[in-house]
Amino acid sequence: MKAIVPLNIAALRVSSTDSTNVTPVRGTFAGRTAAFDLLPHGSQATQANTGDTIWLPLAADSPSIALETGVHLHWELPDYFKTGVQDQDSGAIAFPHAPTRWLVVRSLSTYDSSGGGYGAPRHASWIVESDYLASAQQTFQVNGQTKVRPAITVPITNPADGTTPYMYMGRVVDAGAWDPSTEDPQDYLPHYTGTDGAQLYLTSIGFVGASFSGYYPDCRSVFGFWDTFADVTDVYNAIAGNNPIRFRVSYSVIGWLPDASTDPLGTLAAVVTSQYDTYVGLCAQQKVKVASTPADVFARITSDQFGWQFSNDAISCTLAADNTIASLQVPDTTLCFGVIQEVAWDQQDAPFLAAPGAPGTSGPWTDQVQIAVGNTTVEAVSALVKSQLNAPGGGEEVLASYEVLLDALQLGQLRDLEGQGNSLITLEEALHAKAFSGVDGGHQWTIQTKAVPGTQASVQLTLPLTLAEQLDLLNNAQLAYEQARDRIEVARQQLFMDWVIYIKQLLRKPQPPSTEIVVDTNTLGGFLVASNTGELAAVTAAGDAAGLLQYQPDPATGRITGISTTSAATTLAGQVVSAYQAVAAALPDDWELDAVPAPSFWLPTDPVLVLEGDRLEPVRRNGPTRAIAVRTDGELIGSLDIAGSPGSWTVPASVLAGLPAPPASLPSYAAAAAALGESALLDPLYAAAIAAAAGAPNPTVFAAALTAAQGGQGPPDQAPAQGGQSPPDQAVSAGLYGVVHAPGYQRTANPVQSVQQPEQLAVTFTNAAKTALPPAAVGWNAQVALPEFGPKRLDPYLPVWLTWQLRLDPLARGADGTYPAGTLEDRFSLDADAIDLAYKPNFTTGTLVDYTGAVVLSKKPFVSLLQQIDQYTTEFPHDEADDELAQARTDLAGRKVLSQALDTFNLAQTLRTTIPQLAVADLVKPKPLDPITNRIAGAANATPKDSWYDTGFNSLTAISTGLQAQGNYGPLRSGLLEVRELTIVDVFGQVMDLTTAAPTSTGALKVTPAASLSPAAGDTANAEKVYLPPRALAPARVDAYWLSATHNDDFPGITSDFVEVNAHPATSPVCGWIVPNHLDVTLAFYDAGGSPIGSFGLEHGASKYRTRAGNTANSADSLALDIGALGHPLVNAHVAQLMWFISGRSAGFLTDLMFTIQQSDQFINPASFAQDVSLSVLIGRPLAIVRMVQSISTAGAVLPASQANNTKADALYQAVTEKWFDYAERQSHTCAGLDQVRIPVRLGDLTDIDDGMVAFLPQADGPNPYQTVYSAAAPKNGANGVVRPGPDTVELTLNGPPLTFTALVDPRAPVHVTTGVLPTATMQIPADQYLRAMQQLAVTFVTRPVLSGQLGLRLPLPTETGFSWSWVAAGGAFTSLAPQSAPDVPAYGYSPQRLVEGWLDLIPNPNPNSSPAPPDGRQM
Amino acid sequence: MTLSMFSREQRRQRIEAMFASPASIADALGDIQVPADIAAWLGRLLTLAGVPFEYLVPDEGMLPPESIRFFRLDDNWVRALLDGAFSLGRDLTAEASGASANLDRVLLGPAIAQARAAAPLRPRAGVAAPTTTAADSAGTVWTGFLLRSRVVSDYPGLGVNVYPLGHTPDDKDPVLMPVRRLDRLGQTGDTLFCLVHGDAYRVDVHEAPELLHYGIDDYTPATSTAALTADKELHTFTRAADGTITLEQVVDVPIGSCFRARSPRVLSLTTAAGALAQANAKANNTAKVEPIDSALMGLVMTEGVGMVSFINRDAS
Repeated sequence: MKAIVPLNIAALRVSSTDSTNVTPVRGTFAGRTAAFDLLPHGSQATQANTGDTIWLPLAADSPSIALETGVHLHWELPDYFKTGVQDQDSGAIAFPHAPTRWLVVRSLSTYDSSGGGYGAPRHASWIVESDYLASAQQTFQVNGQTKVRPAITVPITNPADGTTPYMYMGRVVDAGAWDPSTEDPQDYLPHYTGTDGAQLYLTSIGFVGASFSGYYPDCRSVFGFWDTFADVTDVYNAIAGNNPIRFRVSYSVIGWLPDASTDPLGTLAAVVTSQYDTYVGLCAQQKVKVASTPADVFARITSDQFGWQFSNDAISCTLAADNTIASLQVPDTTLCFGVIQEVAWDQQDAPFLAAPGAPGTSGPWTDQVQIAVGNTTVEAVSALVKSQLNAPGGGEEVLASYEVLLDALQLGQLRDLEGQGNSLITLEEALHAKAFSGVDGGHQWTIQTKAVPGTQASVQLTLPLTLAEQLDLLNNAQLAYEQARDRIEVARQQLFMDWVIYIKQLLRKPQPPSTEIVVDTNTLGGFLVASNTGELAAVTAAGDAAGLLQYQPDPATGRITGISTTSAATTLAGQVVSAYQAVAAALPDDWELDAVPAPSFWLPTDPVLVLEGDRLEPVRRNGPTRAIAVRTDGELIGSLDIAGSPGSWTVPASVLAGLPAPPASLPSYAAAAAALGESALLDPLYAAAIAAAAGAPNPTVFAAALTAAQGGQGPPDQAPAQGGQSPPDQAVSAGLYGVVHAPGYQRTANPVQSVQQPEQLAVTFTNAAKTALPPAAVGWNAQVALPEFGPKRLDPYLPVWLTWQLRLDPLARGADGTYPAGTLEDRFSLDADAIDLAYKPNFTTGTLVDYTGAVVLSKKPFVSLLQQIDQYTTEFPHDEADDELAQARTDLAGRKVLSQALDTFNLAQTLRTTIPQLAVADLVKPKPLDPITNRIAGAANATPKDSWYDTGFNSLTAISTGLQAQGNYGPLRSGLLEVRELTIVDVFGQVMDLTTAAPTSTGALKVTPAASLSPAAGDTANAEKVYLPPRALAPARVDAYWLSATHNDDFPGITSDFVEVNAHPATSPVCGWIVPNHLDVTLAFYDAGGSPIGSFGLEHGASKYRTRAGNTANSADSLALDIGALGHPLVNAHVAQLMWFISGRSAGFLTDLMFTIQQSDQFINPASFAQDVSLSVLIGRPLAIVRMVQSISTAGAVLPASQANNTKADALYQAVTEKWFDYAERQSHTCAGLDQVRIPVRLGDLTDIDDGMVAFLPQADGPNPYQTVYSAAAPKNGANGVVRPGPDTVELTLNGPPLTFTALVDPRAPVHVTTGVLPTATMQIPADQYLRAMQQLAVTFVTRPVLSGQLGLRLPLPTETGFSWSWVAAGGAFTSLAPQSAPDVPAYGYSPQRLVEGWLDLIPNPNPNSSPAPPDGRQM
Repeated sequence: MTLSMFSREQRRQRIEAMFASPASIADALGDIQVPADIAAWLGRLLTLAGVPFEYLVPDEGMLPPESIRFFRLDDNWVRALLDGAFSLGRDLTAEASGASANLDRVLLGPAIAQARAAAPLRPRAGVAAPTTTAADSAGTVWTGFLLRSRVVSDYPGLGVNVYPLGHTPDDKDPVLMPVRRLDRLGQTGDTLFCLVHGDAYRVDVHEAPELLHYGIDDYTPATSTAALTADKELHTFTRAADGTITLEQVVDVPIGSCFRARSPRVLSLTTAAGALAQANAKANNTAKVEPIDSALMGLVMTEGVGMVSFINRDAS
């Protein structure tokens, strides 16, 4: 069975006039971006063969290979082939094998002006061999002349001469002459190996990058076809000679993978069988009913892996007695198949492509657009919609609220906003966090219970202390390894950037004292490679020291079940493995180690533009989502059942006269033939042939009616319409074509189309087995009229590139170009009011810097908005806003909007830019080759499985000169931005310049910034600009971790409390508890286990310590007796330190602290309060005493070093001179002081009612670590050591030392850590840990006065399961109390009574299994 | 630019403003509904169920044996009781204007009202059966009595009827007041606790109604010197033609002769019926002796239960 995957085909007509006056013109058309034929080589070359030499900027020059006369086809690879998968070990991204053989069938029907009709179709077929390599371009003969069929170049050394560093890829073979059995493997790409030594194969990214398969000039001979019409002389001559001719032409394209082992469906049957049989086995093991069918498994796999949605007919199977699969038939071969039908050509309309009003016939298209900019597409879309709304009552403020609501809708949080709680803050945090993209943080280890089949593994484990410590050592080793690997990756890229400068200088040979040379070439070479030192040695040594881990994933679940390394035990990888083995050996039987993703690093996103304009046709060539309807070859339409007034007929495709057939040697011949048959049955071009085959009485009328049933564009040059639409500026809606292309179409088997004119026909599109499905819209194409471009415009305009020019007024720096440490405090403010930094006046340099770039456009800006509207109306079907939402949805769906992040803008701030990835080599110097280059090239592939090329070591190049490098190295990105120019380039290279209605006062394009990027209100001078809040341009994360409450010395390597890096701390971080009593103004302290220690209270205007109730051993209320002398704690050391600290404070301190705790109460309302159990409710609000560390780390613990190389003061010269071989050292000197910039941090969020932070105390070393208690709820002018934190109270530096805090938190709510420059981090004590401790709290209730009679104390106490009540009076011991079931029954003889005071104590009953003796000899 | 809707300061002010006064909290909370089971629990508490007896009677001297004490519940005391019940999970504070105190002020009123409405009501049937109305529930005057007596232990099932001023059985439209609680404290105790909703004027304490019985009014066994004598007070009656019975005056009928000679404690019902019929005819001055059938016998022989009435003479 073959899978028929829809293939989208676009056709561009190029007339002779177009080919001379439009396509070769600079600024009107853009050409290829990569030209490996420009690689300098041989001794005559004077340039280095670095990536920039083969890169042709889109707007820079006229196309080097302009589009020639004819029809140019481009097919868009299905999404599956365009999705790469990252390798866990090496980080390399692997793309699937792309189809490399394409059958192109053309059917041509010319208009006979004398007869007044179109003639019978003539057909011709070719094979495009995408991965064919040759040392010269293909030629063909026409009219006795030799013409070149252009091919793309690829960086493969020509084996013929061994020196030419490129070959041509892709060729066209006449289908009749095509014979795969004669292929020579040496002529094809898989014969060659890449820079990393691995076998090459064709992918969607080729050698160019993400844009390769989607941009015709870069892949024209690979995923495209130029129909020259050289084989049909009459047509060719008419076109070439600009003579009148009209014709229609349809193309069918079928692609496949010649090597069956690379077919994505090759292993499908085995995978389905294996997964289903495993599932059945699990069901049997657990004695549950088998609920899923093999069809379910098949559907899940195909949908998840490929996005392909088959019908139920695509799988058939039989089951064995034990329910396992006995036999299975599923698609095993992939055929990509698409058609574009009835491309009409009327020579009188030529040129087809010129923009109207352009001088002559050249000049770009233009479009007046509206532009919005945001950190994310969501923000930008909201800003765009907002900018089109009229300000309602309330003005800008209300509009801004609309924008927030739109954001909320798009993030799926709109309904939540109506609810209680802190949803606005959640929304704000979510929006802020979306402005960062996650960068893989590596792995982290957790211990969980073993998953019993069918159940989830539990990570809610609190580990024995020793095991927790071992796990901590493993995680530290893992972290060290990950950081080292990240650092190595950056260092390798730095080495490459340095080498590029070196090799260019070496080959250009400018002689000193040339101003071009800052660092002497030989010196630079010596810096790169010296005998035993140098940058290369440092990079290699770092790689050797780190080693390489291999993860062993479980093939079914992907869970990492083991790690290994071939590196030495002393390497970081070796240390991870030994730590792993130590933990694994210590694990109890039912527990297992699991690797989870470590918290991501966050990199700020580039600003995103959203553009709306009449000519910005949204391009959804592969449909709006990844999911796409796929058929099998058995579901192709193979015949038409036609019923009409004159009779009824069945017309199978095979009986059509003139039906094209695939070449006999095609591997999937039958399926391909069926596909071509379907093309004919659906193509109006063949309507007359179908009428003839049917033998209808009036074939002309019959054909016209059949055409109407088929639908499609119809010949736009023919009036009246022959079923299709004419004039062509009407929407295509008729016939089956129209049905399939209607939004929301759900396919049905054997679809029927009825037409009334010009005669009544009912056409059933079916096949012999009656299993026919119509093709997906993606794969069934026709010309679409673009009235916005012109009345006769029929050629597509499919935007693919956006080129941009931005102008930045960057953040001010110090005189030496570095950031003062106080930059963020001095130039910005993070007040308690917001989660991002706001600027103060004059925060920029005032020196404007221009940035340019080109990026591939994203095409789905409104998708989230539309999806969220759909979801909202589905989930809340009776919401009063639904009608308006439905209207808005219809409105939005028709909008012509594109969006794109301005990729590389951030990168350029750090003086880097992307570059085509070419291997390190010296192709220029005559042999012997440059030794330094050779050493680097050798090192890059020296380590097996760790090729530097796999992780893009050669993907960046330095921007070392020019204005950007002159004091504008800005790793702390901030400033005011303008958009100067925007240009769009389409799939075929057509250029469109974008303008706005009115430029800004500085001549820039007018943009609407999202609220998060808006200049401050009142800053009129910058009102038209975009504010970029400060962001560190290195992947960074807030490391907010709990410290374990205790440690032991059982395991070597842990000598103090350790940092809990797991989201679920392995041990409890709770050191102790405080229960405030605001009636008495006392703070009662408990140890972590819940036993009381004592309390501080106000007595006679002074702070006084009282021991716990019932402690007869400390009648003098001595603090030292209860907790040990200072420095010699008898309780948890941190609780003791905190109590000694409070003990030494004034009464005012205690009063203020109590006030603060009470104030904070009203701002804390944990979302998880329902988890509370009885006791924690009974006793009011216990606060946990916890310790936390805060730091900010970057990936690899390094920052981007400056690449400036203008003067000897610049980074490169300094690095070379100072011999900063090691990247860590180099960046510390050349990161413009970014590592010293203090970043204000806000701990807790008072107004977030789901934030548990009550107060925190910065902790210094030594026995007296505390000075001040900070809390946002503190008295405003706290004078007693309890104060509100200021902006500079907590400040961190990137990769700086962590700060330690002791904090009082309500454990039921998380603590938020806000920096502004990074997403807000949260840390929460897991419920299982604090609940257990809370349940253990021995609660003492102050009870006074109560009556005590002659018969003893009788109190109405409830029975608390698991607890006992007792009574203690001041200075006395505990006496137990029995719960009273009926206290209101009199027991006479109680008089006289007296009033007594004391405490009621609720004590957990001893666990029968482990019964530690209760303190103080309390009766239990 | 910071949107004011995200402003922490404004949120902080809003939260503080909301907790600043009971009125603003009430605005924010809207209609306060206490969950039904909690209201029922609080309602039982309002009947002082579970309050230790020593707190109701601080000194036994205030309720000596064979005494009855009438009381009126202090509304403040009840509020304090409920306040205690509400104190779970709350930050206790000495500060009168704190958020916690304000929240209490808002919640306590509606909670008490709903608890009152949910307090248990002893079911009563009959013409004067009480109904609870909104007005009843809202009324905050609760009264009752404690009876400590052997009567309580010796006569289990004592009944209580409580009437407000102007609606006693002596008045035109007697109204029984709703009894919220009538408990013998302890299964073998001698103390009866009664709590009614409203201001009690007259309290009738009576034997258990199931103690209705046949009875006569005097019986003296025979001695060696005197014969057996017995009297039955007969509520005489006349019967109209349609069978309607009309009760007349009460006469004393000697029925000593109606006891069986051999078993002098066994009344011969036939003889007694005849004697009573004769006495009835005689009392009605009619020669026609109306025979007493079993139904009429039931009517004339049935005796009611013992009852004591207490009346608050101070009530106005």
